[in-house]
This record gives sequence, C-alpha cells and structure tokens, in this order.
Amino acid sequence: MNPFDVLIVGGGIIGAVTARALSEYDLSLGILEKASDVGTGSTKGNSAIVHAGFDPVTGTLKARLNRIGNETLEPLCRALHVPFRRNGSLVVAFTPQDRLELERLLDRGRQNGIPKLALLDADALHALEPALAPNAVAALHAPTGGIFGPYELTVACAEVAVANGARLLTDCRVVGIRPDPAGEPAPDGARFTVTARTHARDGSLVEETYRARFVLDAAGVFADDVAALAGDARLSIRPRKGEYLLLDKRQGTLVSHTVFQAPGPMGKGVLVSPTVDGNLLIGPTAVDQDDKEDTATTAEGLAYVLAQARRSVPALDTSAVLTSFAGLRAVSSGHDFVLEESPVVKGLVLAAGIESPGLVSSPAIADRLVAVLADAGLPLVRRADVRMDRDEPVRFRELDDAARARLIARDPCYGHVLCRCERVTEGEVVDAIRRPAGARDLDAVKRRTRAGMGRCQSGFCLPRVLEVLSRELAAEEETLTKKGPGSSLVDGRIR
Amino acid sequence: MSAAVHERFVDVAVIGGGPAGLSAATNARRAGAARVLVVERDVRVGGILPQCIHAGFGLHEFGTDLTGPEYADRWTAAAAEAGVEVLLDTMVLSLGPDPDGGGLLLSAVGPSTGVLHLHAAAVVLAMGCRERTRGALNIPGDRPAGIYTAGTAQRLTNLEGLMPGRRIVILGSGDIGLIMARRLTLEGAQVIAVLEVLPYAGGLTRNVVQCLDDFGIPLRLSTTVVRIQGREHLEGVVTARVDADRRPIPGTELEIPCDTLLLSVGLIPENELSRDAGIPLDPATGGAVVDETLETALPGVFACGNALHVHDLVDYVSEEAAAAGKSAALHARAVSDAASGALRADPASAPAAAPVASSAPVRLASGPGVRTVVPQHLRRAAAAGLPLVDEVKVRFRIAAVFGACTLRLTAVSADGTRAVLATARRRRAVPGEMEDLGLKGPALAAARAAASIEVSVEGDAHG
Amino acid sequence: MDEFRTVTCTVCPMGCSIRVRLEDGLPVAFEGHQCKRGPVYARDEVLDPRRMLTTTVRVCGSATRLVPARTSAVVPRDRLMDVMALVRGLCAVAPVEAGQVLCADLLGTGVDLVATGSVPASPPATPVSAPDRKEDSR
Repeated sequence: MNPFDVLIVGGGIIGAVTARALSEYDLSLGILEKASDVGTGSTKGNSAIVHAGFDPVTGTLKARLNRIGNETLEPLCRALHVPFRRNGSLVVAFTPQDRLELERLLDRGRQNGIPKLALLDADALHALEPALAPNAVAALHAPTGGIFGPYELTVACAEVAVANGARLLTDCRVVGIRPDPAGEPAPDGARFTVTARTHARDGSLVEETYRARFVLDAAGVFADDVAALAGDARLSIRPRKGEYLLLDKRQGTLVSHTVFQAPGPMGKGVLVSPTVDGNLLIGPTAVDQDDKEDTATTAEGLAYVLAQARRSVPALDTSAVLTSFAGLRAVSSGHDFVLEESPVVKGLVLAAGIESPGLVSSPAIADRLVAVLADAGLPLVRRADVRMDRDEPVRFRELDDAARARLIARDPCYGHVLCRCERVTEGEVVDAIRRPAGARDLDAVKRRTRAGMGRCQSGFCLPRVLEVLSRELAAEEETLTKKGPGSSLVDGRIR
Repeated sequence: MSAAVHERFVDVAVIGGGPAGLSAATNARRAGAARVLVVERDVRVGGILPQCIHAGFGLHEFGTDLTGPEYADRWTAAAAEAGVEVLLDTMVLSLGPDPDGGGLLLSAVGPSTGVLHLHAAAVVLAMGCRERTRGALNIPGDRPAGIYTAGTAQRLTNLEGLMPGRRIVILGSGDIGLIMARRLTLEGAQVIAVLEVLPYAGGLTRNVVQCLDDFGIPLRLSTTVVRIQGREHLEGVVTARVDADRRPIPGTELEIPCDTLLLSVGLIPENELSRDAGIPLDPATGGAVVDETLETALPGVFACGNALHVHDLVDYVSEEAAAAGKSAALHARAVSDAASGALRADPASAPAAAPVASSAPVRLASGPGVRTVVPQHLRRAAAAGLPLVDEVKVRFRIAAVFGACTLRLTAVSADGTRAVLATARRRRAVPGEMEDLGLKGPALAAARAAASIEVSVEGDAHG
Repeated sequence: MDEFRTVTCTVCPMGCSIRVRLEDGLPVAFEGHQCKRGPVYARDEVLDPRRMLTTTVRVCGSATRLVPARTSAVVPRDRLMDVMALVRGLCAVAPVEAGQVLCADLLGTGVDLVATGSVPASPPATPVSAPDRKEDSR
C-alpha cells in the first residue's frame, strides 16, 4: 500500500479540523481513531464554550490562538452548518475579592487584545441576567464569548476530509510507531511504520500496519504516550476530570449568557450556560487523575456541581437533570499548547496539551499545524477539485411546515419522527449513516442527529434507531452497539 | 405526494391511539360527534398494550382477564364499529387555538400523511406517559451499554425479540419492573435482585408473588443503586441501603456483577404538546389541570389517561377517557351550534363558542395523606351548550402505605366550616393503587357551592 | 409432626400473609387471613399452585417475527420452565389469528397455547426509501 503523506493519530477536534485543512492539498491523508467514531474523547466531554480569550497568560500560544480562533471559528462553523452562537460570557463576582479578580482578568484580556470587554455593576448585571443570585455584585462581560457544537464540528470536518479523499480508520488504537533508521526516508518516501490494533469481524484483536511520511500526534490525553511510541518521551499529559450535568430544555433559557464564577481560592468555579441545542449545561469539576480512560461521574462531583451552579443561579431546578457526564482535559506539564515538529523524531509533529481554550483555538491550531508540516518538508499543492464545506444536514425540528411538506414529498422518510423528544426523523438518521464518516452505532447517530438526547434519553427511539441502523448497515440488530466493540446493546435473540 | 400542507376539518381530534385515545374516540362517536379522528404516531394502535403480553387487563371493563394485545384488540374493534377514523404513523407536533376560527388547530406529520393542518372543534390529549430515566436519579458512573428503562426492555423483548441481557438487576419495584423480572427469567436470564428505595414494594402484591417469589428473586427494600460500573458495557452495580430520607447509608455498599440494569422508577405524563400550547400543568400529577369534564384551561382541549395522571390499571384509563371523549363531543356540538346560530342571529347575541364559567371554579386540593387529585377543579354552573355532569369521580393517590383508614372528601366553606361530602373505608391502602370517591346528588350540589374541597386519608400510615 | 407454610394471598390488594398448618402434607388450619377467600386461595397455593403463562412464539412467513400467546388455562407452577423450553422451539406459520391454538395439550397438561394477537402473512418490509449509499472509505 502507498504510504500516507500524513497519518493523523486521533480523530478528535484537533485531528479532524487539521485533516480538513490538509485535505485542501494534494496529499494522501489517514486518520487513526481508537474509538468507533470521531470526537468521542475530550471533544465530547467539555463545556462547549467559545472562550473570548481573557483567561490565558499573555504571550502564550493559548492566548494568541484563542484570540484568532475566536474570530475564525464562527465562519468555519457557518460554512459547515455547525451550531454556533455568540451569546457572550459573564464572569460573576460575589465578593470584593472576586471583584479584584475581575479587574485582573479585564487587564489580562486587554493585554491579550480581546475586544469589547467591560465591567458591569450589579444593576447592569441583574438587568442582563435576572436569574442570577442577588448577591452577585459585578461581572466581566465579554460579548465575543460564545457557545458551539464541538463534536458536530469534528464530525463535519471529518466528513469534509473523507469526502476529499482522506481515509478514516476507526477502532484503530495505535500501539507502535517505528521511525525508519536514521530518520531517512525509505524508497517509498515514508519515515514511519505505524501499527494499530483493531477488532476483526469475529471480535478478536488484530494488528494492522501503515506507512507514513509524517505522523501528526493529535491524541489528546494520550499525546505523550503516542509521542513516546515514536521515540519522543519528553511530554507529560495528565488527565483532569470534569463532571457535568445537562438539564432539560425547560431550563435552557434560565440564563442567556455563559455564566462563569470568578476564580478564587476554591478553584475556578463552575459555569452555567445555555447550549446551542437549547439545554442548560452546568459544570465542571476539576480533579487530576492518572487513568486516561476513566470518565465516570461521582456522587461527590455531581453534588458539588449542583451546589456551585445554584450559587450562581439559585432558581436552577435540580429535578430537570437529563443526564450527567464527565470528560478529561489534556493538561500538559508546560501548561501551554505544544505545536511543533518533535526535535527528537524528525517527521513527528506534535499537537499536545490541547486543554482549554483548545476548542475555540482549533481552527488556529490547525492552521499552525499545517505550517509546521510545511516547514518540516511537507509539500503543499492546492487541489482544484476539493470542496471545503458540506451540504447542510436537515434539522427537521427547525423547519416550518411548508419546508417540512416539501421535504416529505421528496422523501417520505422525513415524515417519520423517530425521536419524539428532539423530533428527529428517520430521514435524518439515514442521512447521518450514509454521509462520509457516517454513524455506525447508536451514540454516533445521537451525536449527529440528537436522537436520544432528549427527555426520554432514547427509551422510545432506541428500537427504531436500531432498526434503521440494521437496515442501512445490512447488519443484524443483535450485532449493533452503543459505542463500538464491547458495547453490544442486546444479548442475542429470544426466538 | 404533493408538497403542499394538507387541511382537514373534524369535530373531535384525539392525540394518541393507546387505550385512552381509543376509548375517548369511541365514546365521542357514541355521544354524537360526527367526525372523530385519532392521530397515532406508531404504525399500529394500542399504545403500550401490544408489548404488555401479560394478563391482568380488562377485569373491570370486560369482566374477564385479558392480555395487553387482547385488550387493545377489543378497543380497536369497538372504535372501528363506532366509526372512528384512525390516522397511523402520524405525529402531532403542535396544538393551539385555530387562528382561522373558534376551534383548535393541530399540526401533524407522517410519511404518507405529509404535513397536515387539522382543524378540530375539540381535542383530546391522550399521549400517554414516558419512563423516568437514570439521569433523573443522578446515578454516578460511566455511561455504558446495558442500562434500560423497563418499558424499553419490554419492547425489545416482546416486540423485537431481542434479549436485553443475561444477568439482570432491576431498580424499582413498579409493576413493569416486576413483570419484566418474570418475563426475562422465563427467557433464561438470571434476575439477581429487584431493588426498591422505599420500604415497601411499588407494584401489586400479586405481581410480587407471581413475578418474584415464584422464581426466588429477592426483593431488597430500602435499597438503591449508588454507582454504575463498566465503561463500554455494564459490568456491575454498587447498591446501598438507604435511610428514612432515602439517603444511602455509608458502609452498606454491595457490589453486584451484572450485564443489565433495568430501571422501573416511575412514569411521567407526556405533556410537551400541552406545555407548548400554554396549558397549565399540575406539578403533582405532571398532567394538565382539568375540571370534572376533563377540560384543560385551554377551552375545547380535554385530557385523559396517563397523559393526565399515571394510572394503575388500564381499565380505569378506559373509563376516564370515555368521560373525556363524551365531554369533547358535547363541546364540539356546542361549538357547531354556536356557529350555525351565529349565521342566523345577530353576532352580538350569539352564544359564545367556548364555554365560559359563570364564576371561579371550586378547587380540589390534596389534604393530609394525599399526593395527587384529579380533577383539580369543579365547575359551579353550566356553560353554553354544556350541562353540568350529574356524577363526578374524584381520583387520587395517597402518599404512604396505610392500614385501616378512611378516605374523605370534605367541603370547606368561605368561613372555614367543614362538611364531609363522601367517605370510604379501607382495610389497607397503598400509593401504588389509585383511589376514587364519587360525588352525586346533594353531595355534588354541596361540593359546587363550597369554597374548596379537600381530599384526605385518615388512619395509620406505615411509612 | 406438623409443618407450617406461609402464603401471601393475592386475591385482593390486602396481601394477607396466611400461615398454613399442614398435617401429612394437607392444609388443616389457616391464620392471618382477613376474609374467607384467604383459606381457599392458600389451600390451592399449598396443594397445587398454578399460573397462567404468557409468552411469544416465533412466526414464519411474515415481516412480524413474533406473536404474543397465553395458556388457555393455568398450568402447574413447577412446569412453567418446561413449557418455556417447548415454546422456544415452536414456529407458527403466518397468517396467525388471535385465538388460534399454537400448540395443543402442552406437555400433557391438557392446556393449549393460544395466540393473543394476529399476524398477517406479508413479504419482508422494504425500506421506505431506496438505498443509494454514498461511497465510504471506511
């Protein structure tokens, strides 16, 4: 097999956005993703915030790329029909000490070049957000703050990259990266042999090898391990767990801004924010751990989040909780993004330590990674035959009746509402499966369509989505999974 | 199919073709409504009944012990015979006053229906209920495969023929959970335990005996799940005993390896349509606030079945829905009489299309020992075209297990004077069963004259 | 020597716990019941407990895979698992009508297995829209 020009390890937001950016050039691209779908690691367990950029230490990559990304993320989301809303953010102060903290953030924000920052007094603040606790005395208002859909962006970018010819290899966990001796390109032009572990049809584990000229390490919390496999052991990534609660849409309009708490001796506080889908999100906790795959919520964590969120918004209805989840931030020992060719292993490009504000910075990170690859010797020749946007996915719940009638006349599948809570039609599920980088399991359908995200949490639509997946993938229902190998939904047939 | 929005006009539109919808529609026809249409989102009528293959249905309505599918078939036949029209595979997306007239407008979609604007003189809400989920309980842990609500597992097993798992723990001792314990045991699964956070079983005694005791399945009371184990697939649960306030007691944790957790932890009336239409809901029942005709605060919209409040027996759903259907038919008649009268007479003197109560209604309130009451209001006087009903059934749920006790309806006058309107004695009463008390004749007249009515239970509460 | 058994009565919601005294395996005395139906129930429950069985049967020749079914009368409780083993091997050929006997005289009990639903004969369902799967590199 011909080697990949660039083999990206990790199909999270960084891997996907960079794959899309690279797919504009005449390159052979591969993405190795250990899970059954893109965007299932840190990309899906976070606050989904478009940070304004006043928080990162001035002069860091984080500060610079956050500012740029805050501007470029919006047009990228628009082009890819990914939900994005610039709802503005507030950092709320409850004490005189908090107020000093706001001034420090304002000062840093100005140094970072963040526009339109303003301190609000209590009156202005409560006029803006009536549900805030009465003892909120001031806030830092950042109108450029926003919210978006991180895994939607990841799916969209993967889709564009695959449509442009990239190969997405899911269920592929990289277990070996062998640079060729002396770092000299072999006759096929490749420098690396990459070994990945995947499940065979019978469920057993098998290893596949791939050849690559450049390896891009975008492995999130595993970025240090992946770099070490290639021979660069300098990185250290420690996962930091954040637990969240997602609330019913009834609570989704409780606040309109993303409400942070002023950081203090007790930590960074928790945020209360609407989501682009109309729910309310509260969280996170921040607990360092060693296990890079432990995303379990805890009784203590959830209780803490609820208590802290009610400190900001006392009217929060705790009975409206739909679900809870946890994600891991990839905290690097250097506390800044690492975006460079490894000084130790030629051809290994690192995208490591991508913690907050990594999501908002992702377009700027991708641009920088493309530049790093070019500097390292990757020839970039633009293709004329590529498309960098995608067809807009149908969102039935947002259409008016006339548009619905036209759609159903074209394809009756769009008249069949599978998910009653989020009003997702069979047509949307079929489309999510058939698109490039399409859904292969229940959770992948959920992330693309929202089927199962609502009040009944898939109780009603699960059998119906299984039926469509079974038909579209020509797979027996009993072989379908929630999220890839090991997560089978049923244990065979009763008859 | 054309790409246009279709328009239809009916007298009574019934949302949902489950037991409530079928009974409401059948009885609307029997009460004289000409065009009665049931809009059902599934490809068959019956609602939840087709997956309830067990017996225990119909003892009150038909005097015989039927399975769910049989009970549904009887009502399907009755609806067909009464001349009810059914629109399958069609989901109602919105409901509200008709901007083009005095009635109501529904918007519905379906693969062969397309987009339908359904104009109706009266609407019956019969959407049923949904199950409470893990999120509502906030059980910590990861989100692995293998966690289902009992009703979803029942559908997978009985309609799809898929086995949810082999080593099963059930949280919640509601009837669906108990029924599924037996069902899955018969299919070869090992049901390790049924856990109940309360100190008593939620389901019927008969089901505890025949679904658990018969198969040696332990029922652990005052016990809950405090942690989910497993990342990709469920590997086990950690249980703990709870104190009187339902808080887990440290040190009582027990790890149970299992591949499936079924949740049977309560039902929630489905009222997204009602809520979007601005219909006030009762926080205690989760359903619409209604009067004794089962009319909601939106004139011409009636509610019944599990969409109104969660029932214990389907027979009572059918009975209640019959009343809602009849009320809807009467309302539709009043609307059409008013419209034809308006053509002949001076518009200013025409009767109002929607009934208007002559004064604020009587409120029925939960008193000591009572959790929910339906209806929440009683009319004081007849409205245009709608005579007062001569018999009212007050349905309610009590808040705890009682031994010998007295159920009571008490009229409270403006000056605080109390007068007992109706009582019933029970040797035992449990929250899992719906209670009712009837009002008619002088008691009903007294009730309509009261400032408010209190529903209460008096006796020895066991917890 | 006397033997005791405890039976939970299921005749009404009271759920009386009835203590039954047995002599030579036969019930002779009852206590704990609050009405006269209790001892009748407890006697049957001790001597010959029987249950209705409801289940599903595989259907061939239809897009619908299963038909619900029940026993025509109660069967001995200790034969339930044996009957289920038999049911698992059954296959009804569509069309099936409600009330149709799917298996007569289950294991010599004299009780039949009867369909409680109908399944029309039909070809397997076809997708609503024809698949025109896009090229996928996976």
